[in-house]
Amino acid sequence: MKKKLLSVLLCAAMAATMMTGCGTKEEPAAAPAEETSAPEADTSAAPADTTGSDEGSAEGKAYNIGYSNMQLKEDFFITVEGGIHKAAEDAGYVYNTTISDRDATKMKQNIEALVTKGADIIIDFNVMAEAGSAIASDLAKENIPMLSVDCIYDGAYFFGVNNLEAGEILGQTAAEYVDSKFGGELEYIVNVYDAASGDEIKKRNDGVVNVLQEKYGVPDDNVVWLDSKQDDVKSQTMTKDWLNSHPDATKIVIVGQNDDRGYAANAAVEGESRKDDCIVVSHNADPAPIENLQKHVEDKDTAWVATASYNSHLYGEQIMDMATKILNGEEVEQNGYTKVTIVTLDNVNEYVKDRDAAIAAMQ
Amino acid sequence: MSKVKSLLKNSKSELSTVIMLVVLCIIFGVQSEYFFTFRNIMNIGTYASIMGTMAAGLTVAMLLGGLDVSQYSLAAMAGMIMGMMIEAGFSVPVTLAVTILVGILGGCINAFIITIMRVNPIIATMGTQFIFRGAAFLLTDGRYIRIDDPVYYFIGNGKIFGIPFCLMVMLITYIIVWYLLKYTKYGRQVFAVGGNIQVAKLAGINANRVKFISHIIAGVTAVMGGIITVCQTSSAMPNHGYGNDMDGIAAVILGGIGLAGGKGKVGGTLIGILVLAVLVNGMTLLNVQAYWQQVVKGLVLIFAVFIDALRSSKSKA
Repeated sequence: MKKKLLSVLLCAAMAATMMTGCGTKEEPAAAPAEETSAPEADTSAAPADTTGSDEGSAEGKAYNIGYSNMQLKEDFFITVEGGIHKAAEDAGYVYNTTISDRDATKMKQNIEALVTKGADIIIDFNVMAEAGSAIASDLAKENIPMLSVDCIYDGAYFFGVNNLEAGEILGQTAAEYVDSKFGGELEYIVNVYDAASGDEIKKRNDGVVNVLQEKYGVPDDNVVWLDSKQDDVKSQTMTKDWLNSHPDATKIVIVGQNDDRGYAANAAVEGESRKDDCIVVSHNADPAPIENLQKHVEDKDTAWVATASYNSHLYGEQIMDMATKILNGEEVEQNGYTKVTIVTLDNVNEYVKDRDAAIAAMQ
Repeated sequence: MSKVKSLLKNSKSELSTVIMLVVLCIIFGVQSEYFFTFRNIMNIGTYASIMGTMAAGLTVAMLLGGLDVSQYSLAAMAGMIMGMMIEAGFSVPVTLAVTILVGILGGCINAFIITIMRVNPIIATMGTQFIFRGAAFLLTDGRYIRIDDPVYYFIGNGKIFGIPFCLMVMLITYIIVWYLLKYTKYGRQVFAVGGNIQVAKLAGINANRVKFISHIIAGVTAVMGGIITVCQTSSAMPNHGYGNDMDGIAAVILGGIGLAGGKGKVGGTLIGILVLAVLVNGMTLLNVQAYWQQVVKGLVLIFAVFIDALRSSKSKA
């Protein structure tokens, strides 16, 4: 009997601890008490049925936002979540969030829990197109719109990067460096990418290649694709091997699909003392390229000259704006795209200042 | 009164888990207005169905004093094969039959390594865990496969009289395993081998055969969980279940089956599964961050092993 009592006490203590210590508010800080119940009443007001409605956040309508997040381990996800949370609070919305940790089953269960809690819209940042499309279809049956972030789901609104366009913008910047560093001549375009990330993400490289091939007439045979299999070490080794097998090449643009690939490629370039022969550009504006650019603002002694920023610190505001319009029944483009900023040696300090100010405002 | 005492005595290993389940339900019910809604209860059942189906087979392996940490990886690999077959246009019966065969094969591999090569079950299944997971990625180079077929959708998401079909599959699995353990010669042999292998051998029981069959059962229930996963998410993904490998083991231990094996009931596992499912669901409803949920699940696992140790020390005394 003592053991049973012990079990009950331990269990109760454990549950009480997690509820007092780990829980977060279900209600928005800014919302008045009566607004907590508003979302339930709004659930039936599907966006399709409210087209043309002039109700907006400015009138204090407290929507219930369900944010299904993949993780909170990487800067990009942390910043996006912080932005969405703040934007929801500022608008006086109910905000609930979950984390699936790359588990599609958990993602589905979490979204179901968010819907149970009265979500008027599901914003999903799990980047799982297959599972996400199926869930979007289920949600549509309940007239709950879904807004996917950075990955297009069938039947859902989308907000994120226009990968091809981002690549083309980065390509323009790369071309400027080709003109100034190589005198307007280019021999090779080397892409360090991950085939497993799919065709959509590959468009980031395609965009750069399109611009550079068109401008400098680089033959297809000189456009190289190195599949790093999402491995940093492999990315560096493959780039190094390619450079060693092309000792006479002196006008090379290396395109990293993301900054991890860019970092690895740049390490290979520096390791092989080929800085003068290469221009490295990549995507994401992670801390590594930003630090590298800041370090070389004065001496310009780096091959890694540009990274495309998708302005993750602006995601939250833009996503919430799109979500509000969807819920208000306003006309919204199916796909919304984030602003792309190319961060270079010339604008890195200004970019960091603006970014940090925006992030500070979230906290 | 004596009947009640007898019932308590015979079911005491599950009783603490039942009390835990009830306490959790009360706490979450009080804290969240959504917890006791029909929709949420069905969500708990749906969530429990994957882990629960897998744990039914795991129970048999653990009754023998073994462990199987490869179940989720085997499920992922079988799910990828299933996805590839669906993509290639194979019919539903053929696809499901082959997927189940993959489970049998995976179970045979585990059983061979454990019984013939005499490798410790934890090490053996840890090895195959890596192999199955790696194979799952290699099959499509990490590519995900979208499943868009009403039959598979029904398996994962369909309902009969409002009850999720996958939940029914789980319950039927438990009934079959319960029957196997309670009313068949094989079931008695499982308890005999798990209780004292030397005595079982002296009694003429082929312990290796019993272990072999048990790991095949664990393999089959693993891929059944994999099938439900694929159908629920409408996608075959090589990373399905990644990081969840210990959940089933925690549920089995919570349900009263000791690490030493030899005693316990599959019904206890079902209660253990419900405890974990309720815990995760309740914490999600209360906005407890996922990483804190992992901490709590870890505490629950330690708590379960602690209770198991208490039971063992008392039975030895």
